[in-house]
Amino acid sequence: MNDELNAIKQTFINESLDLLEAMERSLLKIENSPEDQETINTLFRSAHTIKGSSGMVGYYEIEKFTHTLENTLSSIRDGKLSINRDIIDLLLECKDYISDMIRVYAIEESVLTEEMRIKGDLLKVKLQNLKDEKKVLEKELKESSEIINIEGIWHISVKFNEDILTYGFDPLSFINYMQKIGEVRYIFVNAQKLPPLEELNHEKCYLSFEIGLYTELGKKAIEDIFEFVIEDVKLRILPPNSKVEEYIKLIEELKTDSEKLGEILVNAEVITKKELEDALEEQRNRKVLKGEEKKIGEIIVEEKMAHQPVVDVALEKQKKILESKQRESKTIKVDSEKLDHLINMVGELVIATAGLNQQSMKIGFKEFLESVSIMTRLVEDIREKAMQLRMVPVGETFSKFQRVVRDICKETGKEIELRITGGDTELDKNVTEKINDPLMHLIRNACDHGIETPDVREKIGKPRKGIVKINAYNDAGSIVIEIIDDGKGIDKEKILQKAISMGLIQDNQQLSEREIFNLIFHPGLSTAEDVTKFSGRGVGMDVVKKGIESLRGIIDIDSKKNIGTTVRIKLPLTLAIIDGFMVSVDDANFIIPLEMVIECLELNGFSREDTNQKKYIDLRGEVLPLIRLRDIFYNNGFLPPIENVVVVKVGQQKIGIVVDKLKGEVQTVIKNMGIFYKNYRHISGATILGDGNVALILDVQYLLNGGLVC
Amino acid sequence: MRVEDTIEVYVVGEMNIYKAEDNKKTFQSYLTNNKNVILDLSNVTEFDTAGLQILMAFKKSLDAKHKNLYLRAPSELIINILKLLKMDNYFEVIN
Repeated sequence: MNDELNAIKQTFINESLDLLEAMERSLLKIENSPEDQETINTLFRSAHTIKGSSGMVGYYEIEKFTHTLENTLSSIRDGKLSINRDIIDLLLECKDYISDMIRVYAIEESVLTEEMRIKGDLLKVKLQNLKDEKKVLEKELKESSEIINIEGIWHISVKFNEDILTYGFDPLSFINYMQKIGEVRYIFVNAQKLPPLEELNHEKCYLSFEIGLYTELGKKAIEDIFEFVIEDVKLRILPPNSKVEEYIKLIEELKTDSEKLGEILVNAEVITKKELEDALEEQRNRKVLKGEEKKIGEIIVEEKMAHQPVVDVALEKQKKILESKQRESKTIKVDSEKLDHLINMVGELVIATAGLNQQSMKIGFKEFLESVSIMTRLVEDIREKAMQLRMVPVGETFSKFQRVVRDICKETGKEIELRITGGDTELDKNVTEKINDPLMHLIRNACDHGIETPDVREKIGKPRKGIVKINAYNDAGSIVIEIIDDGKGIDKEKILQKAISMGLIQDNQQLSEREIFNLIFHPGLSTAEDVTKFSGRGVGMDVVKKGIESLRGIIDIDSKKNIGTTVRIKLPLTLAIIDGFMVSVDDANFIIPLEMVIECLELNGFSREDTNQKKYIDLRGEVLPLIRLRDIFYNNGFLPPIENVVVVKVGQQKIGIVVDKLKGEVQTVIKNMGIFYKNYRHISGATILGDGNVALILDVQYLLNGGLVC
Repeated sequence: MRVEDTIEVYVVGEMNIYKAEDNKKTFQSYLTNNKNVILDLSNVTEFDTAGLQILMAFKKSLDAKHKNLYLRAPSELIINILKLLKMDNYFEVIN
């Protein structure tokens, strides 16, 4: 029982935190597009769900607070309150407060501090005091001046179970919601059963309602208002008496999977197949002859095949079908551990298949070979699909930064717009999780140190509003994430001075621009004159770099004075597999990440003597330092007559790795080496080859920086 | 309306299911005075069906005694609900 309760609470925590995140996204979206009814609905639904589930698991304080929030959101949804910056601020605060409450009650299982309690009360008062009289007035004016169309009024009679109040439902909220889907034309509150006060049971519902609702929606939609209480309400819905309404009902009740408007109308027998064909023909003609882009619905109305309201309902139906299709394809939650396990197994399967492949070659039995080759292909497909399971769009991670930027703007008085592009670029879930902190740091840096205050910007002829762009795109088997700001750029002189004073470089040392910028990644080197709440303490950029490198990524900075700074991060798509280039020394196999390999050269006997001394070769006029794997891994054995050099590039640095044999490209599943080997820094992992042998994956970055050039 | 015939009652805070019992008891205590009642609702922060029922039942009880119920300066929240239910004329609202 206890376990069960814990499981429910855990679900509550996960679900609520997800919903709160969704709320934050919605709020930020609404701030920019206040008329976005869909997002406002999402926001309302999120709050509603949190309210419901927190009550269910017994967190009544959360339920009560969220209830107040929900009321405000419902005013927004009903158009009684218009969105402005202050309201968004307040709602964001409320969202944070709810997540604090969830932390305290559900995660820490403790109680609110006095301070938090006061904060909650304050927020509640603020929420209740929100008023927007202008908007209310406007709405009333508009309502009174509208020409009333008597046609199509639904008569709805609603009688609730008398215990409805004790189930936590407020009958008024349902009637209130009706205004949302239509217009309440008349309403009669039946209080016949209501006793005088002395005899009143305050927990019973005595009232019933007769409502005239004008709506273009059908029976089902009206019924859906009462979805949550359908068992506890006696509902009678009388449809209005006209042909149009009949069609609407038909469309509403239509069971179809088709998302095509024409087919919906045909299925509901609003238009005939012939009419649809004619309409489609007309649509094509207009496009070809007149260049008009008309929607099929418009054509159908214009050609007088159907009435506008019917088409509108069909459009609504179409939208719903589309939505539900999207929902179906969107929501499968799988424990990531299960996924990891699956991918691991698939990795083993790939290895086993490679082994089978080799065996089959040896046997050389024709039918057997064919079966194996089919299986190999299937396994490859499975591997690819399995890897895709882990891939998620980076956009979700990015959108969290909107809030960060907004908070910084509020704090510093700057005006900054965060532009996100390429949010649908996909990346391994593990990587997206780990990339969050470094990116957050970089965004803060860009806002805090990069972008100037509006006044300064204006003075130097830039728009007052600064822009920070975060952009993601795929680039040859890896993903590139760029953080670009149009701020003041990095001050080269300052970095140099600081680096010299810290003894990182010599006074007279000549550095390229890129090398200077990359000095920023040294611990302790921060050039910001003032430390703010968000950044500038000089810790961080080195942590950022380490974070990126631990993901086998590369980070690079480019900056121009007064034009801005670009930070470019290149990451492998996944941590689980690697496209490698296999080489060998004696009988040991090594894998070099393929993306680093530039070219391969022969190192013949003659030049070997020479290079052994010089420890570099002349690569078309460029000096190429060499690393000899044989020296690092102490392989003895026979030295082949011809050695090979693999030229690799990390960042802007090139180096040659001297090996015995080149074995070619392999795609392998990375296995961790276990802690026993953790001191062998030259190796970042291992993989098992098809024939069962082990190949070690070289940590080229370490080889390069470890001063092991031979 | 003579002053001595009237009691003023201030309702502050919630008028919902959570406070229904309290509100009912409070209102009921004013029934015995045989006076008109002015309910000041300007500081009501929450109002739901339970609250509405109590108001209606209170009016019913006072009606039976030929006394009047006046709602003074109901908060916008209440006005909106009464308007929604087309009950703006059901109660006597004064400002």
